[in-house]
Amino acid sequence: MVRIIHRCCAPAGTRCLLVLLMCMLRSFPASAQDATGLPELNSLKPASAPAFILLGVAPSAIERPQTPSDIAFSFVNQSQSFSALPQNYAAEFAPYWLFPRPLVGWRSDTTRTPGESFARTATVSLATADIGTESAPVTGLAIGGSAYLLSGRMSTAAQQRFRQIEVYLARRDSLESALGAAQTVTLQAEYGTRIADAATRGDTQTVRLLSAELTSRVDALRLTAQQDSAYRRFVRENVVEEMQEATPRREGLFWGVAGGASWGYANAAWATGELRRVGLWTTLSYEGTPISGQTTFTPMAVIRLLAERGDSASSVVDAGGRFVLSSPTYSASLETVFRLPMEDEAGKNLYRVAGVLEYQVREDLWLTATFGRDYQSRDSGSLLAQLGVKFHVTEDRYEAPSR
Amino acid sequence: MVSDTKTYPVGQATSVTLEVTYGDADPGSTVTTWQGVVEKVVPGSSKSYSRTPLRGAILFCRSSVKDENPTTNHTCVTYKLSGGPETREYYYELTVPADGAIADYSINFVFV
Repeated sequence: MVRIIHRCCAPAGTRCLLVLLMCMLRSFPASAQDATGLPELNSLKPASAPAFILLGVAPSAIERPQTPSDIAFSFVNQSQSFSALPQNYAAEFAPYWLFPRPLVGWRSDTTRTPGESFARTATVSLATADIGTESAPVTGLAIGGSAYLLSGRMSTAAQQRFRQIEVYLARRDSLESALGAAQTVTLQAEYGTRIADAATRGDTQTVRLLSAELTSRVDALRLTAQQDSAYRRFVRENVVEEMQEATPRREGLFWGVAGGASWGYANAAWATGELRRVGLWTTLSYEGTPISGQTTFTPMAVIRLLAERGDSASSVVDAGGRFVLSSPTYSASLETVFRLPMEDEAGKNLYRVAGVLEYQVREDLWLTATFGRDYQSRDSGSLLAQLGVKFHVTEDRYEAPSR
Repeated sequence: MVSDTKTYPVGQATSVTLEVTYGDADPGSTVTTWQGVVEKVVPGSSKSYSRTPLRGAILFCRSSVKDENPTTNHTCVTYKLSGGPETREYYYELTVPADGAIADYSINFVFV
């Protein structure tokens, strides 16, 4: 079986390639499906949204409210004014950033104490999904949280990029202001003393009216400047796109913690609700500066507890590590996981070793190859040998814990 | 764009100082026009403006903040004016529609 990861519809030519690959590779044995139903390969990355993992869903649309009122609106809207549990709902938000942080400048965020790191990286995820069958419907609900107690420091390159952004903004606004500078002298002569006199008299209404008029005149001045050919040329010739791709990349030691739980409600009845799955993760990783060019090396260690109620055979503690060598056009990773089943009768000597190679064939197409052994080495399908393709990869292949 | 005009009492002062801070861990910049002269306010530092008399003068501020924080599209700017009888802070905020967008602020301070 070939595991194919679709991110969007493939173009016709790519579909042909896909079919060809499937034909070529169908003789490869299938990988064993994880007993817990949790993600298998590349699974040792930090659990950024535990609720989705515990519910076993990969929602295509995740609501990301940015203010407390957004959260209220989202929930009221999805729950039909609190009359029903939201259906197939997924949301993720960062509590700290729901409120304005006027005192947190980027320069003060280059390093963080463990408390600051926890607060600034904490996220809460919520999800509901239909997890039953047509004849026995079950509504699943999961809630989880994750945060980094250590989140490295802002890289020198990222700091440099932010300074470049500041320089660009200053140059752009200097040009715009210079184009209207002469008129500001006229505006000052026209409004300055009148507003000051009105303020001295305590005539707040006149101050308000004149201030609104001045604001409007300055706005018009700025709009006129933005139509000027010199200003437009500056904006056109300076590469804003490159700056838009910039994200605050942090480097150093990262220590992440995550946890969550999921419940199932048969026939969406509250009384039938029962805890189904609990998960806890802790990850330790190091994000360093590129070892050469844009190639980075990232070691990572993880311990995770996954417990299923009423199915102790599926409850496990995993401990493992992963090394990732990554560049913009390829990545290679090796992961090893030792599994400690919570049930005595479960097999011993459970470990898994898998290597994953990814190579960019073209801008929107990646080839992936996996080879290794799964936990139960005597079981059919424990030889991991997969080839696949990824289309339109818009997310990082390795999710760097950079916030 | 957020645009506004505020008054700042200066009393008998002949000089005021402006300090601008940008929140939400985003990079930003401010350029002022004072008596027809355009100058940049260096991030993390303050800038003084003098004139006799100061009353009736207008400080035109043009600020931009680029949303680089992946967790929120909210941006905010705080202008802190001192030199008059009291120090005052003026807070403005704007949520941009998309990651990486630039929030524009045009704030005028009339010294009264």
